[in-house]
Amino acid sequence: MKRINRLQFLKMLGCGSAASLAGAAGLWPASWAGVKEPPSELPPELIAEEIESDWLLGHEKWVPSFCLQCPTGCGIKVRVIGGRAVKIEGNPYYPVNLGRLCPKGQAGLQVLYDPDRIKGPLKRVGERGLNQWESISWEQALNEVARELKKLRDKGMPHTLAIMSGRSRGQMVTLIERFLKAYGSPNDLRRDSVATESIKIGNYLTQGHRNYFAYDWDNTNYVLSFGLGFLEAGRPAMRLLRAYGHLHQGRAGRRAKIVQVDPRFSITSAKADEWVPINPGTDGALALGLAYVIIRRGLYGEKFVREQCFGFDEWADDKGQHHQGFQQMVLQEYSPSFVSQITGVPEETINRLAEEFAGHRPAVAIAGRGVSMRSNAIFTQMAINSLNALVGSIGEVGGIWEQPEPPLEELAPVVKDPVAEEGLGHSRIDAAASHFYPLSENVFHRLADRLLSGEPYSLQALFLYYTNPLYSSAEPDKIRRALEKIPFMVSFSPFMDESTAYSDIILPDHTYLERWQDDVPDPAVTFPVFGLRQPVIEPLYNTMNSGDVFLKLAKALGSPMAEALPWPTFVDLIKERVKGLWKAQQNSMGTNGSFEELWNKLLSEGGWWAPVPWEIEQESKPKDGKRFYFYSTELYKRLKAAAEYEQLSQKDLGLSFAEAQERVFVRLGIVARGDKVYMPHYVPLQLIGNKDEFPFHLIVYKTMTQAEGRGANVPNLQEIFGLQVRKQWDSWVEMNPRTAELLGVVDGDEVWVESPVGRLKGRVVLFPGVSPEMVHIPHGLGHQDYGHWAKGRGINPNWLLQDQCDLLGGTAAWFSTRVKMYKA
Amino acid sequence: MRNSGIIRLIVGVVVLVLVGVVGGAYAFRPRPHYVEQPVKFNHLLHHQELDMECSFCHLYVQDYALAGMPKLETCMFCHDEANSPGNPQLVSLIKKANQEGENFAGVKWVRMYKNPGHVIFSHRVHLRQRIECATCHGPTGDSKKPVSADYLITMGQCISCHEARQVSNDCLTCHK
Repeated sequence: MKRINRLQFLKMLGCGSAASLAGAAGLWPASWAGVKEPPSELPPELIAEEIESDWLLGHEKWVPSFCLQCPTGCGIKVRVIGGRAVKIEGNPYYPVNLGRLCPKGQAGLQVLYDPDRIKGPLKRVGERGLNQWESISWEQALNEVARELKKLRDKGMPHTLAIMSGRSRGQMVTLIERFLKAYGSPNDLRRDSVATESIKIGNYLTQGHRNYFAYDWDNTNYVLSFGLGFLEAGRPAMRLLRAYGHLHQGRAGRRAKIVQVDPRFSITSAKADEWVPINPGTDGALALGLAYVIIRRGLYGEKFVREQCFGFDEWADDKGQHHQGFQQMVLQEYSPSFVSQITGVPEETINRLAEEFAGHRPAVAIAGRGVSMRSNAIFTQMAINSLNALVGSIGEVGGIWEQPEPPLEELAPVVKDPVAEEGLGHSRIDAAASHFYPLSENVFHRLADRLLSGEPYSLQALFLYYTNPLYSSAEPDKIRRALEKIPFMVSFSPFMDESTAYSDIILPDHTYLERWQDDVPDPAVTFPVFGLRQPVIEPLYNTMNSGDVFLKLAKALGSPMAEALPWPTFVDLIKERVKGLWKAQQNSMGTNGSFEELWNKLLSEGGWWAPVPWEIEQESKPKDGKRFYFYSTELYKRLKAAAEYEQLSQKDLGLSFAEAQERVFVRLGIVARGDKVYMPHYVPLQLIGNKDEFPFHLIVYKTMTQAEGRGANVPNLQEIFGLQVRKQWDSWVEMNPRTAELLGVVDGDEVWVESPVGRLKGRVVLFPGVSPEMVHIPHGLGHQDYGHWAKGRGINPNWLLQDQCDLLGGTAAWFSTRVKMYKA
Repeated sequence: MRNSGIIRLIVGVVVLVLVGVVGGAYAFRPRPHYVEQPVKFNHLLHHQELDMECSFCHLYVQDYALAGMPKLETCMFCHDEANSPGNPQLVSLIKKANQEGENFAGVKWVRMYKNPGHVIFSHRVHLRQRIECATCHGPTGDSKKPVSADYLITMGQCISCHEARQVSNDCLTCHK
């Protein structure tokens, strides 16, 4: 060894010297649960030989990533010591959560170290549902799947492959889209329609933006929340939690007022400044009643409404036909006394709320699942949006914004071969975007029926990515019978949940703390954000990133899939998209250097965002230059096209346009007629079940810990499941004490809850905050599998829900079930 | 006195016993266990008189539970064969390193402080609180002698210091 000079010595001083010591790793395995401390960067001669085998080097570091415990996707930092993740904290820089993290995020370690995880690829042995598996190698697993896919393609039936994915975002969505396009199947089934998709449609019809809005909470003065669980499962969760604190105490001398309109005295209702109890499903009427007062008393923002909105005043179209304006309609039909009757909200309250809302700008009206899970969701959302238009909160300080997308690099279009072209020519199995559901992108509701009937075709293969339909659907048994008809099912889940237990081959993904992924979070802030997820530790088991699985399958299947997905690994795909961020040059990275620099900064900070106004002007100006449509020209267009299609497709009936339109309206459950159809209006709720036989209205609500239905296998979350009602590790049936008296039950008794489609037994919790006509059961427990902490615990209220949908958008309307109850 | 001889005998025996006890106590008094290291390193000289920081040699303390022992290169920053007064082991090690070049196996330090597998320990967190190395590792830095086995750290020391400074003593703080 030569004598070391200063430069060399200083280089050595830098931590992370290059020598990777696989040998050292073999000498010092950690003694926790089979976790190996990864190779150390320390040179071997520093580590004396007499060390016994279970001493640790204890290398510690913080690795940024982003959370997957709910759709918010908060930035996190994970503390790793000796190769084991020991603590998750919020990433102080990530704009969505700015360093804070809710209990779900904090409990993420228990997802990673869940002892019931699937440890490698599995193949079903014996009948479906017997839950017997043999371990197979990845090679064998991928070969079998590729073989099945090849068979379908060779038979000219690529459209019989469907991939059902949950609320995933980022490049997994891109991969699946491209894979199916190249393969030749239109069946990219996403489960968005079972949640708050109708809010997106409402936003689209009024403002041309088919997404949620971001809110400039820093500057808002008044929040009128129609059932949005600010402090529970509302999304984006952490942003709302911080907003709550900020609005109340974050600004010296200024305190916003938060009003919660909700049939139930939830945690949010309790902590809001005012709770307005309302009859369920009548939020649209209340919004229009408030609009009445605002318009009548001249409290609306004239300039904005007249210049930037369409349809407020009466107007004539190019054929000279006269159309009613929003103003006229509201003043004619939604007087406070009328609205008070429908909603149960006293007139004085309606008047006062309207004055307050219009008088404390910036003010925002916002809605959540309480509005969206109903048969009248879309029109209710439009009504609520109109309040924001009236007070001029759209695209203004303290108001609602469209969050721009980050400028990811465009990918080369997918080149299709004749087999793919033919396959793509078939209609989707769920009839989305068809003339049946002109506004929908996914119609999960129809899927079960179509699969059971086998029309227009049967599915031969189904991939389940990030979704558990046998648990999270209404009428789970119907779904199970539908899935029985599919001969080949593959699941990518890292956990043995109900749907995975029902599949044929399991290709387990890494958990979110072990994998590469990217994200464009749901709208939360007013500027574009891009998150990067990286493995915080080496994968614990023989699992594989599902992105890599798709890439390998594409290669195995050959052309054209292999060309459509040419990337060697999933990280390469992410890197290619990130090139767009690098080119944009205007960002939080502060570096305009090489791509490598940007990538390394992404790795060390966990994301990219561009907090300067990012071409917002361009983004938020819809076509025709109007910002808000009281009269939705878009809806008019779609319904007109549907009527025209109806005329054409039923040519032999010789329908006139008016007749065809009538048929369309009836089929889509539109009860209004005339101009009102295209404007926000109140549609009475459609409940299922005879009121006499089923006297109670069932709402399935979400607590914070089970916001995604995924927390049942996480002990920490089970411990705090029902804090408000002091219940843990179990579900409950929440009812008003008067109801309990009627039924002859007391707190803690068991009671049967029966709907037209199922019945469940649960424990009574008395809670005066529930209306005497309603009953509430929390969502999240009642699993039949999913690990020993989740299995057989609590009840899954989905078994009671009838699979109804908002026909206009094809979105799930599961808050429509009536039930009866009796003592067990 | 008739029994003056016996009394003198008894006194003599008692004195002898006392001398024996005191002498034995002195001879077998508790003394630090010095563990023989391959190089007789003089901490007092380097740390106090030459004002070198602990982390100059124990490099990895920010990122590891194992702070690390210096490679021979670190010593050779100042020392060479000619310039290692009073330390023949160092001289012979340097000679050996120069001869063997790439194949030099390094200094075979005897590791004193070990972090068992059931303990999560973070040096970084403690450094951030500006806790001196000597607080836990004893006055090694002021001693000419090698590190003593008496200064090895046990859980009791962790707990009592945590109590004194009102920091968490929850089991999960260190045993994840």
